[in-house]
Amino acid sequence: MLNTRLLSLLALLAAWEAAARLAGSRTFPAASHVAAALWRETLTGALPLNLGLTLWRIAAAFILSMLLGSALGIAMGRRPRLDRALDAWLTGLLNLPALVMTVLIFVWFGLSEASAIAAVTLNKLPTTAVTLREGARALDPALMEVAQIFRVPRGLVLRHVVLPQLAPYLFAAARSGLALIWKVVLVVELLGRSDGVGFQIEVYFQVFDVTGILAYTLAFILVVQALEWGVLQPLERRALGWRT
Amino acid sequence: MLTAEIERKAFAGRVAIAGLRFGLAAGEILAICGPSGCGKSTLLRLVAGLDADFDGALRWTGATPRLGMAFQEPRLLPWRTVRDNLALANAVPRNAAEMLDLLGLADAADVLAGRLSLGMARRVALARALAVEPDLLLLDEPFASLDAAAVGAARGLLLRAWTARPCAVLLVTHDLADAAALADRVLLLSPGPARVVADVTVPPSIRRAGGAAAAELAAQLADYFSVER
Repeated sequence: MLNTRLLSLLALLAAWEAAARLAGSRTFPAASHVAAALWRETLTGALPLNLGLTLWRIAAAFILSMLLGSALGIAMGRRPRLDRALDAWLTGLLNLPALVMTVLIFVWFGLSEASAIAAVTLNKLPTTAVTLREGARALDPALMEVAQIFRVPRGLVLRHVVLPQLAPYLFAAARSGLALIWKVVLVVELLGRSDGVGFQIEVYFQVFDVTGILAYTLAFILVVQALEWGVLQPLERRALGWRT
Repeated sequence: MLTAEIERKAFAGRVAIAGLRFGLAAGEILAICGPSGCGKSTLLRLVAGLDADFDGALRWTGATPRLGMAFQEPRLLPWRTVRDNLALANAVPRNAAEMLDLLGLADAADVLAGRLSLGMARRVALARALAVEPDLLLLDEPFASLDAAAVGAARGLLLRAWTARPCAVLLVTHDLADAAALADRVLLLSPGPARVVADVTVPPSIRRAGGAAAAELAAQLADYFSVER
C-alpha cells in the first residue's frame, strides 16, 4: 500500500517536472526549482519562522474551537430547549463567509494576534458544534440506563460510556476542522498579520513569484500530511480499534 | 423487602399496567410470567427506578437495596473487555473474577465485549449483574433467543450463582418453564393492561427440582393460566 502511495507521488512529481520544463514559463516553475527555493528559504530561517507562527495559530485556534465547539454541540444535543434557542445562531455562524467574519473581527478588535486566533476559532467552531450535536443525539440511552442501574460515578460514565461513543464524531470534527483551519488561517494572516505563511504568500503574490508561493505551499502540505499520518491516524486507530 | 402497588402506568394514552400489586421477600425468586407485550418489562423498569412516571407506590423496607439488572439485550460496552465491563459496574472487582469463573467466562475475560456471541454476551450481562452482590436482581427475559441446550445451561449457572449468594430475584419471562425451573413463587399476569391473575407459591418439595417435576409444574402453570384467562 505504501508503495502505491509512493509511486503515485513520484508519478505526480515527474509529470509536474516534465510539463513545467516543456512549458518553460516563469509562472509555472518545475518541481526541482520549487524544491530548491524551499531549501533556500529554510536555510535563511524565513520559512521555519513563518511556518512556526502559522502552526502556533492553527494549534491555538484548533484547540479552542474543539473545546468550545464540542461543549456547545454536546449541550445542544442533550438539551432540546437550548438547541431550539441557539439553532438559528449556529446556522448563521456556520454560513457566514470566513472573509466577512475575519474582516469584522479585525475592525472591531484590532489587528492583533488574539484577533487572528479568534477569527480562525470562530470560523471553525460552528462545524465542530454541529458534528458533536449529532454525536450527542446518537448517544445510546440503553447504555446510560446501565450506568444508572449500576450507579457508575459521573466521571467514569463520561470517560467510559459517553466518550467512546463520541470518539468517531470527535475525529470527524478534528479532521474536517483541520482542513478548514489550514485554509482560513492563511486568509486571516494575509488580511491582518505581518508574518506567517499567509503573509509571506501575499508578499510573493505581489511580485508574481510563483516559485516562492509553491515552496511555502509545499512545506505546508508536508506538515499536514505528517500530522495526518503521524498523529491523527494512529490516535484514531487506538480509539476506534474495537470496531474492526 | 418490597411492596409494589402500581395502580396505573400508561404510554401516550395506552394503559400498560392497571392495578398490579405484589410483595417480594428478601432472598425470594419471584417469576413474573405473562404473554408478550403485557407490560412485564415495563414493570421491571418501574421497580428498577428507570421510569418514575406512574400512579402508585413502591414501598421498600430497610435500606435502599443494591440493584443488579440484566436487560433483555446484553447492553455491554463493546469497546471494553469482558473484565472491564464487570469492573465498571462493580466496586468490588474480586467478585468480578469470581463471577466470571462461576459463569464459565474466565477464558473470555480479556475479549472485547463487542466480539462476543449473543449467548456469551448474555452470560457476561448476567455475571455483571451478579458481581455487584445485589440485594435485588432484576432479570428481563434473560434466556430469550438462546437455543434449548443453552437455556438449560444458563438456568443452571444462574441457580449456582444464586445458591452461592442468595438475593431477591424478579425474573420476568414469557416462558413458564423458566418459572418452573427457578422460582419460589410465580405471578401470572393478564394480557395488557397487566394485572395479577394468579399468585402461585411453588411447593417446597418440588422447588428448583428440575427434570420431570419442573416439566409437570410448567404444565400445571399453563393450565392454571388458560383457565384464569
